[in-house]
Amino acid sequence: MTREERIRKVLASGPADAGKGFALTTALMIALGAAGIALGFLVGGANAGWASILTGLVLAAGIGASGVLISAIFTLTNARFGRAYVRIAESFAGFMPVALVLAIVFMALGGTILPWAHAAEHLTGGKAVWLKRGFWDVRVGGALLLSFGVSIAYLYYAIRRDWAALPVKLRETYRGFVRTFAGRNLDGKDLEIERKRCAGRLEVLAPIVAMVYAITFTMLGFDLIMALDPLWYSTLFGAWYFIGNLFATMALLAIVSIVLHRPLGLGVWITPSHRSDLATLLFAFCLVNADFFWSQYLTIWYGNLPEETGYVMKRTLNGDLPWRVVSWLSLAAFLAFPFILLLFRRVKRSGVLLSMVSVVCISGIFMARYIEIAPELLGIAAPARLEALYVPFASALLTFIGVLGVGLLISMRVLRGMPVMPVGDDIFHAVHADEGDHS
Amino acid sequence: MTAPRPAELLGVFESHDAFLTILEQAGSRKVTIREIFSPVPDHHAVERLAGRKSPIRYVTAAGGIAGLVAGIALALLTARVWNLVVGGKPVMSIVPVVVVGFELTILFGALATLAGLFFFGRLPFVRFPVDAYREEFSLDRFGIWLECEASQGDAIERWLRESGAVRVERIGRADAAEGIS
Repeated sequence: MTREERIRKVLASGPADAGKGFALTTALMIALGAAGIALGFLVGGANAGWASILTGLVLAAGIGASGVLISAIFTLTNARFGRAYVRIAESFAGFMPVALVLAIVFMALGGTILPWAHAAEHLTGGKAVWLKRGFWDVRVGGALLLSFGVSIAYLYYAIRRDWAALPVKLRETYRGFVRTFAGRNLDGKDLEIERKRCAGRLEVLAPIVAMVYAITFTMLGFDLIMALDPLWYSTLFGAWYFIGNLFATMALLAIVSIVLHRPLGLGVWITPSHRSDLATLLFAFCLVNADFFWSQYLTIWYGNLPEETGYVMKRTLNGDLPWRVVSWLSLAAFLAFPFILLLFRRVKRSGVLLSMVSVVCISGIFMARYIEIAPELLGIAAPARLEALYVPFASALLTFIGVLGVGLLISMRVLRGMPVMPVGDDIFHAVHADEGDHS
Repeated sequence: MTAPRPAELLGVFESHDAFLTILEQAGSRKVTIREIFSPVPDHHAVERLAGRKSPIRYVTAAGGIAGLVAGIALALLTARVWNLVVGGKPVMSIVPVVVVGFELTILFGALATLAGLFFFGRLPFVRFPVDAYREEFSLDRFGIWLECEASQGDAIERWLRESGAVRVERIGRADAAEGIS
């Protein structure tokens, strides 16, 4: 099969359409999200509502940036199997506007519930300077804009490279903002030169995306989550946060590519073998995520300093507080279950089983974020039973489902505006030429 | 009375598709694939053979479990013998030994996998070229070396030829060098 024939095959089914089932599902998810926010604010109290929104914000920001990062990682490593997944991963940029809206809402209206905002006189060292509202707003907003900006620049060249590979007639089938964004001013240009220029820019931008992601999300982890307990600190916290984002996004990538396999026309391009490779990568990220978790826990455990151990004991050991159930469930979901289940080849090759494991992984990361945020915002005092957590936790879970719904809806709109496979990528063509185009 | 020696046949294929078809159908016939030959690395052939589960996973699991036990034992016993007290924690603690156990799980698992790979892959391949190897397998032909019951020899030979083999040879017989097609 020639390069052009392969491009025509990718575009044969027209712009990717996730279908009516997907639209209905996301509408339901968004409705649940709205119900979750209402439940939090009206029944659980303002702090429960803001805890839900902050949890949704840190997860949406993480998924938005990590989707593009996964594509950059595949570019950096020349991953052959990953070519089939880059476009879906890139489409998760659709979570970025969700994160920005939540960030603006939180900063404008919810900032007053930040515990450190009322404890400036108790902050020691440089914390009194670091944790000032204006400075905090600039850092959080700046980190989000910088990370998303670099990611969007990467996306621009990734999509434009593909537009440059398309014959003019086929380009006409695509409409909308993605085409306006990345496909403008192509007429009259030497398309092959333009395609190679974009590919060159991607090689330069990929490591920059990775470095900016690591730095900005370390800062966001510190500012949005760790600072909620202003007296507690862990230098590993930022890394633990950003690696969890990558893990959750990898799991979401598996779910979307499995559930929307047929509507998006992925059948020819994503085979059980590709699925198995992605599952192996998911397993690897499960281990890396656990590694960061354990490195942080081990240091706190060995150091045995009261200002550090209190944070962990409150969440895992204190029987007078309701948090330990969520903590242990989270550990089981992001480590124990995926570690055991992803050892099995049958699970890795089965769409149903892999998507179920991936749901468990995302649930584990959601609970990990919630258990880091909620105890500081809800202020539940001992003794308290698990029942005290029912409404706030349900609110956060529903809000997260809503965030997923909105994010996926925008992501699929993004995906609809570009070829579902990276048709301008030389490695994509090399892989399929080597595999004989009939796998 | 000794059982008759099994028949060994070599099918030579010009067509890659015919070669793959034989690999697919071999599972439903009473034949053992001893070796396949291809002029280039062939993922499709490997995929068709992958239905037979590799025993290496058991070797990997055994190595990993041995590494886990060895790592935990090494860390715990070292701490006990030298009475290593860190941060006022009990000498025999689970938390720090998890790291050593994990690292040795990976190390032993990887080394066992490598050893299993060499053993089951019959590497290094010191007896090459084997009886069934033909120079054309390094040029433009595919080969499959099968073993079956002596009484099945003719039927398997017919099956190979009908499936597109350009030549079928009996290995280990005087007429092997000449071929019988």
